[in-house]
Formats: sequence, C-alpha cells, structure tokens
Amino acid sequence: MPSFTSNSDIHLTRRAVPGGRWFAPLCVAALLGAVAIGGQEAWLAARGFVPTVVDSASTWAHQRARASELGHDALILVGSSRMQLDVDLDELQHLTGRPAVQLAIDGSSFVPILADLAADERVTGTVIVDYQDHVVGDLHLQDGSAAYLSEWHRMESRGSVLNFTTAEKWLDGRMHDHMRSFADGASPFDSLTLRLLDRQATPQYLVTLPDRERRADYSRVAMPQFYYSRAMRNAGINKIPPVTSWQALNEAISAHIAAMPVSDMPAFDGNAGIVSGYVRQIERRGGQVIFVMFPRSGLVRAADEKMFPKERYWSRFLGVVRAPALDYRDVPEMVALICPDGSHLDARDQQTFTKALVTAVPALRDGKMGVANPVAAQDPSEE
Amino acid sequence: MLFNSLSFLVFFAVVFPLYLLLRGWGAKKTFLLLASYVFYAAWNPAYILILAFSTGLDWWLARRLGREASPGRRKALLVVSLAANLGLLGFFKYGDFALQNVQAAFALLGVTYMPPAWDIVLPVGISFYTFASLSYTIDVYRREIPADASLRDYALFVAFFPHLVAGPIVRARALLPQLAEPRRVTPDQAAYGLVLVLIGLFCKDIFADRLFAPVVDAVYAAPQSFGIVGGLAAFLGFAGQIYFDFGGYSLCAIGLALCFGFAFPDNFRFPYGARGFSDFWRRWHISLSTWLRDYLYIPLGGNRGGEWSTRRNLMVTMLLGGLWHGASWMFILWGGLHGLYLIGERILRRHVASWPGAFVDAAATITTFVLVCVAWVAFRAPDVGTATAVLRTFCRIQGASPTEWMAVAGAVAMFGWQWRMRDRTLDDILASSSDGARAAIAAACVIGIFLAAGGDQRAFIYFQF
Repeated sequence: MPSFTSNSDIHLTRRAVPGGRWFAPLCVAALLGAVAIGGQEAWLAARGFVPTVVDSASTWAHQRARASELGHDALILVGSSRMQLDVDLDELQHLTGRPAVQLAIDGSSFVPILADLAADERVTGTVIVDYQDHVVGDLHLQDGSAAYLSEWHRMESRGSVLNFTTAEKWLDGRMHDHMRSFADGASPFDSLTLRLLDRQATPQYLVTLPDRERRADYSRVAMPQFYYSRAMRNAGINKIPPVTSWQALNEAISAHIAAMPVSDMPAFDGNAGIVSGYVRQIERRGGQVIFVMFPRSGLVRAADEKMFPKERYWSRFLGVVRAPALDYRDVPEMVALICPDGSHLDARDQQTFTKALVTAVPALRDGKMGVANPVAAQDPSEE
Repeated sequence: MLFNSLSFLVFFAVVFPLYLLLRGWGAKKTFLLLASYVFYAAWNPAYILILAFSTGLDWWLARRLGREASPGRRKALLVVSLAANLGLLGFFKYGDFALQNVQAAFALLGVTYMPPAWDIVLPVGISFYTFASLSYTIDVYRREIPADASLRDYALFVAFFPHLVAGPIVRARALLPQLAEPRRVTPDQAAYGLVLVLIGLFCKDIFADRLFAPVVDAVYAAPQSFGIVGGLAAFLGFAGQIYFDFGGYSLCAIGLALCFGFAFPDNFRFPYGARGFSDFWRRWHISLSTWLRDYLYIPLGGNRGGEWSTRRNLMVTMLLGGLWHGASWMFILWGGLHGLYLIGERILRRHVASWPGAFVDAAATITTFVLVCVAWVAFRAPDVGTATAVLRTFCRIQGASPTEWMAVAGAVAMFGWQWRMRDRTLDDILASSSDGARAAIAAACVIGIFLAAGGDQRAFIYFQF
C-alpha cells in the first residue's frame, strides 16, 4: 500500500519538511554552483572567448526605433551580413557627423526592411542599402527579417511600458552580453560541449557589438578551409570535390563556377519597380536611399558575377530605381580590399572601407544635405 | 512572469527578504498581496481587474451566504457565484470556441453565418483561480467552512503568486486557516522550499524542454516524416514532457509557498506508476482531480445511484475535466478517453476483485501507462488527423536520430523510476538523503539549470489552461 504522508492531503495546512539540515547543504550547493559557473567562464576566457552581444530581434527593434526618432540626420544601414561586418559605425559617424543605425540582418533580404522604413512617415534620413541581386529576384524569400519586424511592430504597439517581456529581454540581454558562456548566442551547454570539450572547436572570430556592428578576425580561423567552405556554399556545391590539394580544389570550384548558368529571375524588373516605389516614398519625405554593391573576392566574386552579370541585373536595377548607387568595382580603394572568406571584410579593413564609402558617395561625404547628388557610378552601363 | 525566468529571480530576490524583514503579520500579508498582484500584472495589467472583480464578488457573496438562513436565498447566492465565475471563464476561455461551433452548426444546415471575430485574450491562470475561488463559496454554502475571512486574507488566498497561474488549485479550507495565524519561517524550511524549486526547475528545463519537447514538437509538426522510433519518442516523450513540465511547476509552487511559511499539498505522486486509471487520477494533478470529485462528481451523484448513473457521472466529470484544459474538441476527446478508461476499469474490477499477483500488477501498470499515453496523443495533437498520423508512424520502419532514441530511453527510464517509486513520495526520498547528497542534488540542479539556459524559453504548458 502507498505510504502517503500528510503532504498528500488536499486540505493540508502544515507541510512536513524532511528532517535534518537543509540550509547548510543549500549553501554548499550554491557555492558549488558558483564555482562551476565561474570555472566555465574562466576556462572559456583561457581559450580566448569573449562575451558578445546577442544579435536578437529585440536589439534590432531598439535600433529600428532610433531610425524613426533620429529624423533627417539618421544614416540607416540596411542589408545583410556584409553591412554588419564591413562598415565601421564609429568611423562612419565620425566622418559624416551623423548618427548611424545598423538595421542589417544576417542572411536576410533588404526589401522587407526597406518597405517597413518607407511605410513609416517618421523615417526621413538616409538609407544605405547593401544590395544583392538575388533578393530582388524573389521578394517572397522567407528569412529572419520577418521575426525582427514582428518584434518591432509588437514593441511599437505596446509602447515602452515595462512588462514581463521587455523586462525579461532586458535582463536576459544584460546577462548574455557579459558572460562568455552565452557568447554568439550559444547556451552554456553548447559552449561546454562545442567550445571547451571539443579540441577542434572553431575559435571565436566574430564579435557583435552593442550597436549591432560585427567584427570578424579571420586570422583566428583555419585558412584556406574556411574560404573554400564559403566559396563552395556560394557556388551551391554541397559535396567536397575528390581532390588532394588546395590548388586542385580551387580549380574544381572554378570549373564548377564556369559551368554555372546565369541566374534566371523573370520577376526581377517588376520587383525592382516595387523597390523603386519604396525609394520614392522615402524621397518624398526628404530622405534618400543609396544602393551599395559590397566587396567580394576570389571565387565568391566569380560565382556572383557568373550568376548575376552586372549588365543584366545591377545596371537594370539602377535603371528602374533611379537612385544614388555605388559599385565597389568602381572604387579602386575598395577593389584593393580582400575579403578573407570571399564575402566579408576583416575587422582590420573596416575603417579603410568606410572611408572609401564616404569618399565615394558625395551625399555622405558632404555631410548634411537636402537632395543627394547621384554618384558617378549610378549607371555603370553608361560608363 | 515565469518561474524559470530572470524576471522572477529578481522578483523573488526582492519580495522574499522584504517579507522576512517586515514586522507584523498584517503587514506581511498586505505586502504578499501587493506582490502577487504585481506578479500577475506582469503578463497584462488589465488582467488584475478581472482577478479583483472575481475576488471581490466571491468574498461578498460568501459573506452574504454565511449570514443568510433562508435555503432559497442561499441557493440563489451560490448560483450568482457560479454564474459569475463560470460566466467569466466561459466568456474568456470558450467564447471563440462556442462561436466557431455555432458557425459550423449553421454551415451544416446550409446557413452561412459569419459573426465578427471576438479575438478574446485568455487571462493567464483564470481556470485555476476561478476553481480556487469557487471552492470557497461552495464550501461556505455547504457550511463546511465559516465565511469569516477578511477581504485581504481572501484576496491573498486567491492571488498568492505561487499557485495563482498554474496551481495547485489550493482549497480555501486549506489556505485561509494558514492566513489567519502568523507563519513561522525557519532557515531549514525555506532552504527545503528552495531545493524543491531547484528540482522543479531542473525537471522543467532539462527533461521537459531539452530532452522531450524538441522531438515531440518535430514529430507532431510533421508526423509523416518519422518512423516507429520517432513516433514512440513523441508517444512516450509527451508523457514525459507534460509530467516534468507541470510536475516541475507544481514543485516550484510548493517550494515557493514553503519559503513563505505556507503549506501546499502534493499535486503529483509518481502517476505513471499507477495500477489502473482510478489510481492514476489519485496521482495526477491531484488538486484538479479532487476538485472535480468534490464539486462535480459527488454532487452529480457519484457512485450512489447504480452502475449506469455512476458511469454517466464519471463520463460527464471527465468530459468537463477535458474541457477545463482548453477550448478544443481534442481536450474533450482526451477527457472522454479517460472517462472510458475509468468505466472500463469499473467493469473489469467487478470480475477481478483485487489485483492479485505480480504479473497482473505489472500488466495493469503497463496497460495504464500505455493507454494514458494514447490519451496524451489526443491531448497534444491539434486535430484528429494529426493524432492518427502520429499513431501511424508505428507502421513505418525507418532510421532515427540520436535525439529520438534518447527521448524513448528517457521516457522508458521515467516510467521505470515512477513504477519503482510509486509507493514512496519525493519527501520520503529526500528525507533519507545525507547532507552531502542533499548538497549534491541541489548543486546538480543549479548547474543543470545554468547549462540549459539561453535557448528559447518555453512557457509552462499549463499556463494556457
């Protein structure tokens, strides 16, 4: 028969506590827990890991709010990881004298964000877009931007009233930003198993700053493996070619790229027209939109140029959108920069790139302005 | 404010020391009441209006009931309390559901009826505090308890934050007497309460959220992609997920109450070790099953009116118990299955007077667990199609991921552990542990909770009920 204690009684008024000591064992447990957590933090520190800001929807939503608040002065950066890794926000703000807002989202399309900015009457600043051909080809791409926008709209509708969700996010952010166990969005368990217990763990080469700028130190990753991995992903190669040397791998990927067809995007012109509509909306309020083709290198550049020829896509896009634009291939200082992984700049090149960007775009170079002057490379087909 | 959140950690770190520092029992109770309303308002400040209305009305009605001698007027007062509480619950919880079903019924008759969408937001915990509050007016009506509680004590009974949003459904008869006298909090008692909180959070974070939930979610999202191992992982894994989720929450609530010197009863007692379904319902969500027994099954006639009326009463109780969990036909189906199980068990028991022998005992235990898992499929699946698709995975042999195997192994281990421990309680097990073992258990919980932190934070399943 069950040996039920009085603690099972639904009308219980006094709960029996198991005899013996509980306070001292709990204190010992708290100490052991603190030692274990502190030990993991120290171990991660010894392995070179640092705390990072978690690039969350909540962080993004706060930056998005700034884009609405800063008015005409705002420099609003939209796009994906290239915008986050290539631009030095401090340098950009220093050179232009204008506050910068980083709204780029890793691995996402710029279109939904530009649409959201266009729909917001308070956005009257300068929007710099990290242009990518394929996102204009398909405006219905499912990516992380939907969750970020949803968080922003939720925040907008609820205002700044302190509630559980906002308080929890704030507390969570503070803890994650200061502990190595949560770096790069990992859980402490992930950090233990994938970083500390795995001797082959990828070193932490990417750090997110509180303003959502990201800095990559490619000297910390194994090259050229890292580069070829990116190049293969970009070229759509899922299986490593059966080769025995890096040279042979390079040739195999090059051959694959050479055989790749030009990307067929029948909706491109129509979609460019939709983007043009967003640009006009912002311009009507005194703002402006500048499209920038960010640097690529090596096989990543080769694959992009094969799939998305400049004349077929970039030039046609500018022809439809008719907005200020910049192609890195037209700026010698930018062409000289090497993307170590083929796609993004190393943190040591951020300032050089940012200076070149401000110098090449008159609207940025001249400080505060009303109507931007189209840059020299607005329509490369006319060069 | 979830118990496994940083906000709650801050809330508790402020409320608990201040409660200990306050002098005077009245001041402590007032402070706890305010803290409980802040806790509830963290979800949505508007919710506290409903809570306050329900509390004030029931307190006033109970006072009138206590003074009223006329049976007719007493009954009328009780009806007002039932109508107000169940009306609120019905509107917020079942309004949309009822509307959809009316619409579907009209459609069957060939009438297109498109009512405007209500978009009713369900106030968190309304099912729990409504039942807790009703226990007061019904007990006063039955003259089982006096209606002498002050408004503050009564409001604190209803709103006391450890049980407010997901139970246990504490009875007025149990908590009001505790509020009447100052509660003494000893360091060992508070420490034991915190150990229970740690064990509860460990169960929730490690077993429910990490071991079982990912596999269960994946299989229920796309059952056609899984074979027998994945199907078993979901079939058995959801039993583990909901037990560790809700059992963990209940343990946190009991532990937190203990920190403040209050006693809450056990809500779970190794339910998967049950020998039969009546035994299962004496072990699973005890505060709800006893509430339904005392305030629904027995008033309906219980087992006093012959076999057929007993069966009817069992079925009605279980169907309404299912509906209590949410506005969905699947919850009603779950309740109906348990009703059938209980009726089937009664029929079987007429032929087998007791459970003789180890073999029959084992067969009863295993059969109970398997059939409880079958009912969980109806509970977890959004519709009958998904439920049958999950069960159809048992007909497909295909490869399985390590996480699927781990979920199966974890659920089988849980079943074995509960079977082994079914005649004991957690308190018994902890009572026999040494100081070192107690420290090791608590430390393991702290470290486990930390390691599991940082992913997406899942709300406790029972918050939606």
